[in-house]
Amino acid sequence: MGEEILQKLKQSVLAYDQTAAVDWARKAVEASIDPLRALDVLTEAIREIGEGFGKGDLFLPDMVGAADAMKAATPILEAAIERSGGKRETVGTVVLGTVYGDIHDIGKAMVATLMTAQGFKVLDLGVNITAEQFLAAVRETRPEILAMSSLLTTTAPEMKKVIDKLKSEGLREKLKVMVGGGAITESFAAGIGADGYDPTAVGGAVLARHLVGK
Amino acid sequence: MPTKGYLVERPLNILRPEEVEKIHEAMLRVLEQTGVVLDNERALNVLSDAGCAVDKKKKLVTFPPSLIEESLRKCPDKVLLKARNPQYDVELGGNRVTFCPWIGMDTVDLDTWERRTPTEQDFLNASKVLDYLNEVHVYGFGPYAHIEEKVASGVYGYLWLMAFNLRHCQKALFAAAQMETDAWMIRMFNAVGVRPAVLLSGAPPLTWPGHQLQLLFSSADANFPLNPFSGVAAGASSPATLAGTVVQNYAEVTAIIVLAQVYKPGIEVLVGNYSQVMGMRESCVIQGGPERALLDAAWSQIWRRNGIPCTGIVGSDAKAIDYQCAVEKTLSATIMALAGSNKIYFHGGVYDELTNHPVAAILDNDAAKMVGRILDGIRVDSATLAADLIREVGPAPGSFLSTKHTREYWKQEQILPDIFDRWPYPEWVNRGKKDSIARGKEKYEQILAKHEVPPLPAEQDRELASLLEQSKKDLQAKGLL
Repeated sequence: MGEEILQKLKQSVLAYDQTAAVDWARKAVEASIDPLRALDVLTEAIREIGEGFGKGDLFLPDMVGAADAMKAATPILEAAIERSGGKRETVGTVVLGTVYGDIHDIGKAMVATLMTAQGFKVLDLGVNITAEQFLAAVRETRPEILAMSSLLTTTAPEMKKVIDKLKSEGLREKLKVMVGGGAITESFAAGIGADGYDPTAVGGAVLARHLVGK
Repeated sequence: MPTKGYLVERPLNILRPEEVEKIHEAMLRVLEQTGVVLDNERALNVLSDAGCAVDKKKKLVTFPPSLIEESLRKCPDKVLLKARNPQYDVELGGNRVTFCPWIGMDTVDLDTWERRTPTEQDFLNASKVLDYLNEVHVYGFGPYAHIEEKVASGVYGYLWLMAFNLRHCQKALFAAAQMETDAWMIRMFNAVGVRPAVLLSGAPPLTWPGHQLQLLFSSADANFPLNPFSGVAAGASSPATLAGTVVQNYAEVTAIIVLAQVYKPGIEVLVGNYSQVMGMRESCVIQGGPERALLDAAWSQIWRRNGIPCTGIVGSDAKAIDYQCAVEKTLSATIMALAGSNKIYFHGGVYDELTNHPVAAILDNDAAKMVGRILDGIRVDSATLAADLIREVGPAPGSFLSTKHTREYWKQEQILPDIFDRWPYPEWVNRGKKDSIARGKEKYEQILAKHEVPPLPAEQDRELASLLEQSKKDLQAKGLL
């Protein structure tokens, strides 16, 4: 019975079905299945989707669809882990947001979803985030990575402002900074002192793992 | 399952309807008042019997308008080509647009851009590529029009070429013959059960060579569709004005239609266009450019008026696979396709019919895919308008990426090029900063390594070899080799 529930949970991610993923995650908890094991199953499903993407058999909507299904099911399993006194191993914490003056959300949200699927705990601050808001979140959560997005050439300089503030407050060396978005190039990223840049959401999530040595 | 090309729902009309009628009236006047030279006794007799005025000394025929109109009406609106593999049978006509390789006399070195005569290995390599490419809907004449002397020479060369295509291509073919090779050509196609369209080449202005008219009769007897081309050069063998060139070209091809329909009523005709302009600065025929695209667009519109299938040729004056080559070819192909040309000679040509290369064909395949996507157009219905979905997703931070609708529809809306690079800059760097020719070369090597064209059944192959050998002896005995 337990194995059947886990297979259904996995299938719901492979079928990009958020509703089914939530249902089967709940059933897994109700059936007292180890929530850590259920999370592993979700990761297996995402890995399969990722492999298909890498081979060119699957595409971005499939990746994001599967990651969204996983993201919907994950809080149910995390709550069960917390209730049981256990702890979920993550590959690290990411604070991310779109910089001040820019309210573009989709690319950044895609990165957040795919980072979650890569095993990160992700704190998505949202859009139009000031340097002060980024720094407050860094001080509070002590993430391994700060990720910033800007679609506009006019708002890209905000990223440097945030990095400069991190430096002036002695926080810069304690985390990796990655940047992305339509207006960003690798030369710009290097010029403002970021640790990494990738032009795609999928690549950004992989880059995050590399930045934390995973 | 092989694709059969694209449908153009509302073909481009480059001419106003009244302009089409003016061109038609002018064509009738040319054929009635000036006429066409047909250098073939039998053709003169057939047309004389049908009511045309024939000056046998000048071999000049003038045509009554009523006979012209009647002949145009007799042409079927579709032409059926039967391929060696029935999956590749294709019916040309109506709003169907297909792509086909263009030929070259030479191949070209992709590093030095030096030209050289193709070897048998070049033929084999190119035919593999053309068999593989999914936007090659019809094979046509194949990649090259000429093989090195030690393999085949003179009039025998074209027979060798026809046999090669029958052996190494499973898609629909076109045929051609020179001098006294028509009977052998027909026997070879019949031996393999392939029904080609047969190219008939004119010699403008207003003249058709005798052996091409003989080919008309023998092809009609074999029940093969005809593909008459005139091949005008505006300013030299036709008027410098594009309208005048269209009128003359129309008259030249229509003269052949009349002869064909009088001889064999209802015979399928696929009218070809190879209209060019004379380069007055360069002193050579101009192969690419907007003039040729306009001539082809007008051609398609005129034949749509008559309900008769037509073809066109994409050309370029570029000597290398470069920016000029891509612009000239794709501009022409796009306009021709939008105008509803039923078969567009496109893949592989570099310097028009002078040089050809399979790597160009591989790049052209992506271009054909793009042109085809434009023909497919924008589908508008309740599902594609997606108003309900837009309401469901709502304003930001709503996203369409992970919706079922996106997963269902994006593949219908977007093409996936094989060679053209759409990756972000760092990925392009990771992949070696290759340009499109370098990527085309890689694909070329992959196709050569992996793709095989199914061989002809052994019995048919033996029959072809035997016919080829007999034809050589026959041509030698007649002093033609």
